[in-house]
Amino acid sequence: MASSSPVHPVPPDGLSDEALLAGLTFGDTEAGRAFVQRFQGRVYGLALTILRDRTLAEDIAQEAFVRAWKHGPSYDPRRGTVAAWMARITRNLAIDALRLRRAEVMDPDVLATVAPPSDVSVEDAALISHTAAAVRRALLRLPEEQSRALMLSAFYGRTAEEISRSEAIPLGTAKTRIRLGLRRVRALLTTPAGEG
Amino acid sequence: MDCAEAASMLDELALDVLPGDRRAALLHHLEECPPCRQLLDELSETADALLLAGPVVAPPAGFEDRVLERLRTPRSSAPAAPAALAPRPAAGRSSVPRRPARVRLFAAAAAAAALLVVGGVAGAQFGRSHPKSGEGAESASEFRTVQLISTTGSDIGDVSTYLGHPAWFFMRLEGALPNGVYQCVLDTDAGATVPIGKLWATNGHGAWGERVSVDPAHVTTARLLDSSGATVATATLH
Repeated sequence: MASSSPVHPVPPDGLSDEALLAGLTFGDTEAGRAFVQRFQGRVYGLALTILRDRTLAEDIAQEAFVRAWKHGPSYDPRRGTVAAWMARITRNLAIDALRLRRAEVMDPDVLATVAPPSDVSVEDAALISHTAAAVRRALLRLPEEQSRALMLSAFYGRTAEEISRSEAIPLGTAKTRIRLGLRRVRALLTTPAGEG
Repeated sequence: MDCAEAASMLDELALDVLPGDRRAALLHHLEECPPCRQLLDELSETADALLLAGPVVAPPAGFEDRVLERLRTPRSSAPAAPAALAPRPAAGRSSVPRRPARVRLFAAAAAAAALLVVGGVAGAQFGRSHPKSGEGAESASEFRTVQLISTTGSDIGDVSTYLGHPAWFFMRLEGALPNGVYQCVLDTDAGATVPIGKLWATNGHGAWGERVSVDPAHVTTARLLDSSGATVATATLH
């Protein structure tokens, strides 16, 4: 038997991503606010990256948090982090919005997509992780056609067939570019800096 | 489908751009092929890393308040069950992401997908479909967390309770218990011991959550038992 078992209040800011998601899901306002504060820069930034429209990006970012609130109980930590789960929710909503508007996909210029914009606050800039920096370096080392195909799929949800049509290349070539691009990034992320 | 053919499609599945007709065949293969599932997990992590490398941009002023205002609209239903019990989305891309190949893999262990409600987060509630009496500060009592103490006195995790309707229990391990399956039991003030589920510990970590029929107000302790039935950790709730 434990000698003591104190209830230990924890300020929302100090909680894990999973705990904040639980608080959001179960309707705790302070946890929900902390959750929004923690992820809003990423969510809005990703929506803006895909949509290139600030008004629409805010709508999508808001909806992403509503979806997280509604579907929080379906989050499974074994399938990825809360941040990745939020990113996928945001990405899918943004893609749906793009398709609804029949909008043309913007040119997925790698640097424009992954380089931090000038209006990033110092606080948000601190959120740009070491891993994100490594991803950016990896993308810059890919052949341009591979990074382009990879970004079209990862950010814009473009299938190999759609890339084949838009890039005027054979389907097999589109699939190969996606595959080689993703695997090259994976290899570079698992290779010590300076190698690979 | 063999592994070579599967491997040619795994990247598109990881990026969630594989058309539905080929997705079904690939998922069938993945159910029976651990190496391909492992590769999918690795590629999915890379796909996640790509999205997370996108720019972080401060949203327009007032964004946070506008989001919270939307959350004050009651949901159509009470919070759903955690992953183990919640219905899975239908096939095809959904705005709520999932990695289908992992669903079957972790079906047995999906209870470990506990959302950890940590106590002491005081404040009002939003969007509650079934408001309880005593909204406001008293609602903080719905969330409660106590430490999980090993038999050697170490803090190795915590147990959280949600005193809502239904009530939930969540257990989390952050300590050094050996890998394996542990039985979770609740002891009540009436002297009963109620088994409520199992927790998988991997590399010292594990989490589990479950809706319980036991009234948390009558639960005195939550315990983890090893395969021999011996208590390895206890959390005292009352």
